[in-house]
Amino acid sequence: MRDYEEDYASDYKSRDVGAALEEAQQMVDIILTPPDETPLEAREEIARKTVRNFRDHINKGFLDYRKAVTEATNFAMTEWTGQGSILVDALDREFIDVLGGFGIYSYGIRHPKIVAAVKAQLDRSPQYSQEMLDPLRAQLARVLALLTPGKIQYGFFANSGTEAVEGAMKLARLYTGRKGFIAMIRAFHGKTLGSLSLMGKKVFREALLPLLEGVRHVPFGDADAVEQALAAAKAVGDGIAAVVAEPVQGEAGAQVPPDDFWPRLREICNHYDVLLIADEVQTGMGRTGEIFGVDHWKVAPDILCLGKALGGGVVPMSAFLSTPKIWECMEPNPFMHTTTTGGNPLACAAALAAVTVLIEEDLAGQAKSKGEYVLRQLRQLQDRYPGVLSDVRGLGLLIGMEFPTDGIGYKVAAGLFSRGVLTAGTLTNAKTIRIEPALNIPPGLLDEVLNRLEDVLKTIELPRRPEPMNLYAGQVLFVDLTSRQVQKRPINRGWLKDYIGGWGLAARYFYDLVDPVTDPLSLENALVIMTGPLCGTLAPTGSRTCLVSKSPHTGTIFESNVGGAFGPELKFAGYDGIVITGQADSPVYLHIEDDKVSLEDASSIWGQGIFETENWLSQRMGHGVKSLSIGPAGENLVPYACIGSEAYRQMGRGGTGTLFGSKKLKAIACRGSGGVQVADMAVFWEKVTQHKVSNLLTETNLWARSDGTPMLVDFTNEIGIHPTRNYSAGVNPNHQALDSEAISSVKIGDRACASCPLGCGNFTSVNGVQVEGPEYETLCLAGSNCEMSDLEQVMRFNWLCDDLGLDTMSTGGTVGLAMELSESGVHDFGLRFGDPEEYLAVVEEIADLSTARGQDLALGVAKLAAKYNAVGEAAHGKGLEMPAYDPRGNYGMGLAYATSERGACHLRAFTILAPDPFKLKLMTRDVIDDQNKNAVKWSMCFCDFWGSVDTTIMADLLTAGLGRQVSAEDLDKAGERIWNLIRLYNLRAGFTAADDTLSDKLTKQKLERGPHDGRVLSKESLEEMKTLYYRLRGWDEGGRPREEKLRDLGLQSLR
Amino acid sequence: MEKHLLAIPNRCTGCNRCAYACAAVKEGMFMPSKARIKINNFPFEGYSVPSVCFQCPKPDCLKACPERAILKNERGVIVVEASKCDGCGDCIEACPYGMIEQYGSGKAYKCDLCGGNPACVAECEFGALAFKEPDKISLRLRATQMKQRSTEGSPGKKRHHLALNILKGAVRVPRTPGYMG
Repeated sequence: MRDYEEDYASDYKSRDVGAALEEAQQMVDIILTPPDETPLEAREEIARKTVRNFRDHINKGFLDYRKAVTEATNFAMTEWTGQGSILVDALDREFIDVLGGFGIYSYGIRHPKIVAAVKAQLDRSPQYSQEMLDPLRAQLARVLALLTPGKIQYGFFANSGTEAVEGAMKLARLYTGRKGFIAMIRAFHGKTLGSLSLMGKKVFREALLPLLEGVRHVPFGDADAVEQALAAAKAVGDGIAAVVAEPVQGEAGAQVPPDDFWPRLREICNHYDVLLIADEVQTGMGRTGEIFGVDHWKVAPDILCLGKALGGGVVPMSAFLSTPKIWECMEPNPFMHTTTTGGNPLACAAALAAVTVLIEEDLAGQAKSKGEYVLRQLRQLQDRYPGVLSDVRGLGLLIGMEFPTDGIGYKVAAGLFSRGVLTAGTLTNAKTIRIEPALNIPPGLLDEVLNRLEDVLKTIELPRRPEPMNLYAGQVLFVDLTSRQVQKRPINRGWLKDYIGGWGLAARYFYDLVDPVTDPLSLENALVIMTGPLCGTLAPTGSRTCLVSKSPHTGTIFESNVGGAFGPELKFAGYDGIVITGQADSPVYLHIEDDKVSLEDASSIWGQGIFETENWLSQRMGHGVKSLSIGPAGENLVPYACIGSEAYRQMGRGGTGTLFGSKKLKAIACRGSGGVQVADMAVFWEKVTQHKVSNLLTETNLWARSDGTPMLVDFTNEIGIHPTRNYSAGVNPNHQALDSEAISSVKIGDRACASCPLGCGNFTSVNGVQVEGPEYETLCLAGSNCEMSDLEQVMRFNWLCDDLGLDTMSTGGTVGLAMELSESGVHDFGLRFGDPEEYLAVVEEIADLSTARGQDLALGVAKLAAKYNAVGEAAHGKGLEMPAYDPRGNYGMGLAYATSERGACHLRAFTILAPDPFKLKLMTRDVIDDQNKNAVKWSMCFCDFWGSVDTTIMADLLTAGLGRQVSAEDLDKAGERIWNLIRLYNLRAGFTAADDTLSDKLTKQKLERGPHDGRVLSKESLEEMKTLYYRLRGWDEGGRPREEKLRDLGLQSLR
Repeated sequence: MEKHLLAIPNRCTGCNRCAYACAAVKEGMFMPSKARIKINNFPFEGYSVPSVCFQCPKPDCLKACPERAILKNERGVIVVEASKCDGCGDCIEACPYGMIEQYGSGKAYKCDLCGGNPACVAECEFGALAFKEPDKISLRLRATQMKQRSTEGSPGKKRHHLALNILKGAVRVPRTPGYMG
């Protein structure tokens, strides 16, 4: 693109009548000089001045869009002369015109017969007296009455197409006495305020709303939708005057409706007694291969609008015409609608001559045969260049070419332009390009255009999909909900070695995307969803999916992950991850089917639970679709709402569902048919089998298959860290009601995540309630912690949370606290330990915020306790409800909770197997090692239950899959790097060492029962561990990573 | 009698390792959409149904092929001779189980039991797939599954239809060890 600033500096100052005369005279002199007698230098001068004048006096915005400027090398293409289908610019450059001025040049440029008539009339009388009767206008009206279908007999003449539409609208309203219109989506009828109301494009309307009331838009070509809209209008008492449509939608890219559309419109309009308006401004006068577009379907409209070609390509001219019966309403006061210049003698002379050319040269017939020929040729080009030309369509010589993107379309239009072919298509609007040549264009010229088009298509380099990568899909989807735009970007390869995938890679993307002080629920917050490199392969348990964002519950950066099969499906669709920004203005879901990615309306499923949402998605996208979705809790912004997948699996913690809800994103649904490639299948598979047999399927991990997490019920009770009765005791005397054996008695099947040979899921069923689970955390926090020892009730609680989209851990923790507050008389929420009825009822109340107590409990433990002055009773870290391992019986867990980035969490470090859980130094070292290792594990998207996997195995699998050496040390370092990265984020968000702590309940109140009866984890012990922890991590006393640590990890630039 | 490949839905966890393994053998990449074995998961119901080719005694696909590109080999396995297949799709329409498919509009492909050592079975940790000599129980199970024929729609639709019927008839009892578990 060239810089038009260089052409001429602005020299406009202010009013200067003398200069006005001088410059006007100069242009008149040029007009009076025959075009070929104006010297070249003078024409160059004109070209330059025209750019300047556009910039300074028309609208400089055009200069950025028009190919005449953007694609010009030295001088902008400047209109000069034209004849037939050839345009010559001021510098003698020739163009074949297939834009046809968007349909004005149907007879070619300067058709001799039309020009002669207009010139002769000019010498006779150019305008009307406004009093005498004008013969030309009267005759033209009669000629058109003879030409038009049906009973159309009267006409009104104006200057531009939009005026014809305005008049038609007035006529319809006047005749019917009703104000409404049914118009079509993507319709174009003009840009004045009335016709703009009918416009079917947001971009031209939105900024100017409100427009005329009572206009309803329906999809073009969908007669049922028209009927429904009319029925709806009738049902609610909205009067509809007319249905308005273009026979073939022009601006929308030559959209041809189904054959029964217009006949059915006629029928429907008759049935509902509304008028049918055909906007033939672009399609009339032979353009589509019949004299009028509606002739294809033998339909007679009630009102017909003409424009563009009506003036013969010489004088502006438009008209609306109708039947005697309708026209009667204009007769009592003929001055209801008038115009001074419309239908002036020059215009009428042009139109009359144009009609003779139309019929004598059989322009409609020419359009028909040439149109069929061009479409055939274009379809062959489409077959040869399928990635460039995605669709061709049209009727007669109103033809549209569709390209995959605006960018490709613009390249084609620009390529044609530089080869001397003039088409539509601007920088920002070139996805479809119309071809509308003169109807009498010589066949040889059409062939020339097609040849040059093929030349251009050959040169278009398609945006290549990233080179196939091993293990990674190579692309990340960027979805902006505010603008509803979806982009596919190559994955940032520079980050893969340092951040791997999953948690690490998502956190790295997030770090650059969202300012740490952002309000988590604002549109500035983003969500990064990321799979791991082994996702979608046979590497066992490595197919989990991570989400990183800023938590609405804790305000920290946080990560949450889910198993199931969403991750592999996303990868098979061709994406490693999804970045979601902005906020939608109405409920949407993200629809992914391989390359096809779109945001679709989800209003009808908003308010429904996750189970129904998944069912709805299956019906739309087919059985087997994989999804992440939210229930009412997420929609209602309950801060611990979760995202559900495959009914009973969740990204549970930190408010993932709340974030979807705040963005009005109901779900992400995906189907993928691609695959994941590895460097050498035989080598990779062998490594997988080796580690599976010798490490995974061994005693250390097989508890997951035989028992699953309920195994922990007996174990945590035995070691006395099983939170019971709102975290007051470490042992539940009734725990056998909830343990592995109890689960086993109601289990009816094993379930597994994608590609997992462990299959830890217990599908249970009792008395009509079926659920996958409950898992240990639910059994403890919604069971023991609420003193609910009836497994069936805990299953019901589990089922409700899964459907409503609530984290069972935070919900169980909060309900337990509310039970304690009720029983101790602080505030009666009507909840009692062990009482199932209210315990189940309150879950729904939390999700839909329908009662006062529901709203209270939706605060979570920290804020609920604060509200009722009972902070001493709340068990949490950084505001996140505590998991089911009491730190008073295991100090390592205390430090793990306190230093976790997302608050009290058992998935950062897990020290419950330590032989001496009260040795502070040992525990501190264990926590750091675990945190670093888990940072790698969640970045590889492995499951917690491959407990014995280490970075040596992970590196071995990565090496085999990627085909390049990855060492355990690389991964260890990546783990530490990731831990420090999220630390930096939280520090920038305002968190300090003081936040690395636990609530008073754990540091002051003594644990009851069991081996640790009477113990606390004192603040002193915690601080002692923290001091050592910071030092060993290379952080200062304030918990801030030191410069040398950041340098060592390559994070110095992120500080 | 030749061994047959048997699917035992009650044992299936829905992990799809069989499909990953199949595609790895047949396509050289992890691409379950092109696997010759397919799993219908019903997560809400906690149930999964593997669909396998029964290597029918009277194969509809074989009968439908106008190019005689589908043959029964000496072991009774129904195989596609790719060089003869012209991609007409008649076999795909004919198979009532949705177990033969084609690459776009190209050649047809189906399960060939990996020449007698099926990779899917080796990856199944829960015994939901067996490759064994037929016995009374396995023949009965196979016969029940083969009764669920469907001639409508895409292969995926047919498999789903079949799986739904099996899900409806599934006997869901607390798990006990045993042959059909």
